[in-house]
Amino acid sequence: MIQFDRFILPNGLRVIVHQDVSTPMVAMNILYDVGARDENPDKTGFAHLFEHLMFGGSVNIPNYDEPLQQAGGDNNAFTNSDITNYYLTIPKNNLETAFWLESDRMLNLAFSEKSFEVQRNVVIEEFNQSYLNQPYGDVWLLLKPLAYQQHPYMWNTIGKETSHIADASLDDVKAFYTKFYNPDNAILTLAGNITTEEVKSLASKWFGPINKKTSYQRNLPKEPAQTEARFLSVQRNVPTDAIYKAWHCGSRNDSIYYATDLLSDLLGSGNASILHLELVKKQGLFSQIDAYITGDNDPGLFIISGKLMPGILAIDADRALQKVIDRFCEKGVRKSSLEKVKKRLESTLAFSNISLSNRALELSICEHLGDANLINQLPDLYQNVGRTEIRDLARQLFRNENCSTLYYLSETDNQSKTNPNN
Amino acid sequence: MIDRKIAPSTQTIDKLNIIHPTQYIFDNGIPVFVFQSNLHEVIKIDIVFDSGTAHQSVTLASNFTLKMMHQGTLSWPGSRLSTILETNGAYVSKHAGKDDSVITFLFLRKNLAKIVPLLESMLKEPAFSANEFRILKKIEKESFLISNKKSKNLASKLMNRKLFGENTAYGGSAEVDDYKKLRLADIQQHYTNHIGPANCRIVVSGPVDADIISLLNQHIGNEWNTKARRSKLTSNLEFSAGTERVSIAGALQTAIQSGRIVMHRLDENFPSFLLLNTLLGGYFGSRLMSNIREDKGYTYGIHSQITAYLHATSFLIATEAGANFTQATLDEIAFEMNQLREILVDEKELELVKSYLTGSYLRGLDGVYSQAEKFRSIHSFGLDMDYYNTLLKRMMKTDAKKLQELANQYLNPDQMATVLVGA
Repeated sequence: MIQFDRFILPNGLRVIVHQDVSTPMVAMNILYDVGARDENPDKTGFAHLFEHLMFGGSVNIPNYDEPLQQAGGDNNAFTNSDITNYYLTIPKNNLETAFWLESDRMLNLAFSEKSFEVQRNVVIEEFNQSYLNQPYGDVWLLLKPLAYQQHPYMWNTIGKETSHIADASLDDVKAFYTKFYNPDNAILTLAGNITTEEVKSLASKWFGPINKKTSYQRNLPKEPAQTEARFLSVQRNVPTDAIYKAWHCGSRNDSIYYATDLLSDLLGSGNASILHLELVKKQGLFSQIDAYITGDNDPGLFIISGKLMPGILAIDADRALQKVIDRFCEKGVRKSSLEKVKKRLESTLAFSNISLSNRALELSICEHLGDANLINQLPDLYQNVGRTEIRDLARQLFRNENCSTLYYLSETDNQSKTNPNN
Repeated sequence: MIDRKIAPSTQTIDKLNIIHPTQYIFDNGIPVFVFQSNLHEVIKIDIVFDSGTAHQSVTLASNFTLKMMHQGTLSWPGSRLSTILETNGAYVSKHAGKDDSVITFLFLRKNLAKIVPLLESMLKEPAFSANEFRILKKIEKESFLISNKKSKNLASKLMNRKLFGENTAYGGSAEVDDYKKLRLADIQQHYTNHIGPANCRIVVSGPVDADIISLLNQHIGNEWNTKARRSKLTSNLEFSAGTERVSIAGALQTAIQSGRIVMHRLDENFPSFLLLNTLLGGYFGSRLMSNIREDKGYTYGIHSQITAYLHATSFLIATEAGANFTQATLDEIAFEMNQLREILVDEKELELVKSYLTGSYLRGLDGVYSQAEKFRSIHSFGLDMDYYNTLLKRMMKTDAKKLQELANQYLNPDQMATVLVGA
């Protein structure tokens, strides 16, 4: 049970307070309700580029990092399709420094030309490092636009291409800030040896005077139901072929989410999962195979991905995979298997609650989904998933017309064509 | 009306809240160190063997032995083992380092009774089945081929050779042929000689009481069927400076690594050098980050890192920089090292790094699981948790002159080994 209090400032800032007296640190998490999905399709990568600019100094504080480091604090941030999240930990005695820093950069940023120039280049290097200069790095740049044709999930957080980042202007970015970085568009969570009264006082003092309002109404194009299977094949400089398959599934707030998550665990999480046992161990077609869900706020994707053993044709591996899925849809899940993944998940939830920062993050994410107390309902929500629910879900999910398949083939691998017994 | 231009006052932290583990000894002599807390239901058991890749007679043996111990036992053959572990919500991870190997079990306290026999079986009676071995080799070889394609990994491998010597205990690394050469007999031999009570120590963290230790003693505190003795490192280590370059057609970035050997962890200057390392490249506000990322934008990240092994300490600067900025990045790295040799660090910056580091240790020692981790990383050096207070004290006492002295001794581009993979 994760105890917490919740209050809202007059300016709309939602604040969550979780007390933990066992630690000398305080975790502060600020979640802004803006992600890559809120971007203009011709100016993608902004939410993430913007995250970088938040560290370039605010209106009253030229340098964000130094005062935090001086106070013994550490921080980072991440952006995804749905949210932009900033988090720090700081010794309890220096908590007010965190309030001073975070409230100032919510108030207004410095927007220096220099910082903008540099961070554009940094983000381009990040694009290179994570997506373009790694084997299999560009998979998501290919798979998302295949699966999504209308919804903004079709582009990645990093952006559609480096030119969007290179061509961004400081004015574009200022407009982005004004639109989204407001107290009524944010959730502030504190976890540590603090009281609600303390937090109320600090929040009112530092965040209270910020009176900017958000007028953005999220109204994103819905992804229409996919009516036929999609397919893409590419060749890249990688040592082995790979297959990626994506099926449209529900959103994080759908009641079927928990069954979907467990289904991905059953099929492809861990060495005792169905796909690993059948396709890696028994049939020797894949060297690794995984199943997972994107867990997005809007309807997301169920992914199965795997690397093929040398000499195995993608089309044969794909067929074998499809057969395993079909058998699952027909027979459903064994009672013992469902118990197993539930047991595993129970452990995972407990492990994730050890970290103070993680508790602060999870509380923020749950609040963003509509209710911070969801964090305490998760164990039951997962335990209550039934075998019929999973079987019916699988039948609905794994329809061929719901699927997008990417064959990511090695340009150098000729064995798959000539030597199937290698 | 608040004045946002004025920073709230801050306090310095002067002492860390160190706890010492409770120590037990199993009947077979295995020392067990317990960091106890009832705050969470999670139990973590780290089973450490004082034998790593530095002690193996055959390349890959250490790594594969650990992995094969997870691939089935006499009582739970093949995938039965993974299935039953997962059914009880247990997570098992393995790591073969240079000096030691660790198998870690992570699970909820309520599942302890079911998991202990599994743990015992894995340690005492691994099946080492020929079929599982064959499959594992295939999987691992594929994984190796993919990993080897990453510029950063290739750079690390080459750097490792330069730091320690190509065919030495610390400097060796696997090639793809090693996967073919590895035999099941090599695994069986490695297990027999290196995995056993004489070579083992255990760190436990979480809601663990004497009854639980007693249960563990019943299961793994007796004789195992191995001949393992305390492992000794046999070969010498050899550093070679100079630059090695590997060209990758079409590379958008160059993986750059620059490193050397520095003083041993137990050396009196080690804490001061840790401080110097942090200042140079060990945090976001470091000289390297401030210059090469935040001023020039050449990279998404650049860091320097110290790794203290039992027989040597390495110091390493690493980054992946835009291909067109390769030489410029090298120049700036040299520039920053030069700055530290020529110019005394000013008080303000020194203060800041010290405060940051103190916070970092406070954070790193927060909670029993973190404390257990920190203990594990120093225990084989013959140190105990007091070391962290000593470390902090010595770092705080380090002045700018000391930093400059160490910079002149160790931060010389001519004395470094450099590896470039990419442009």
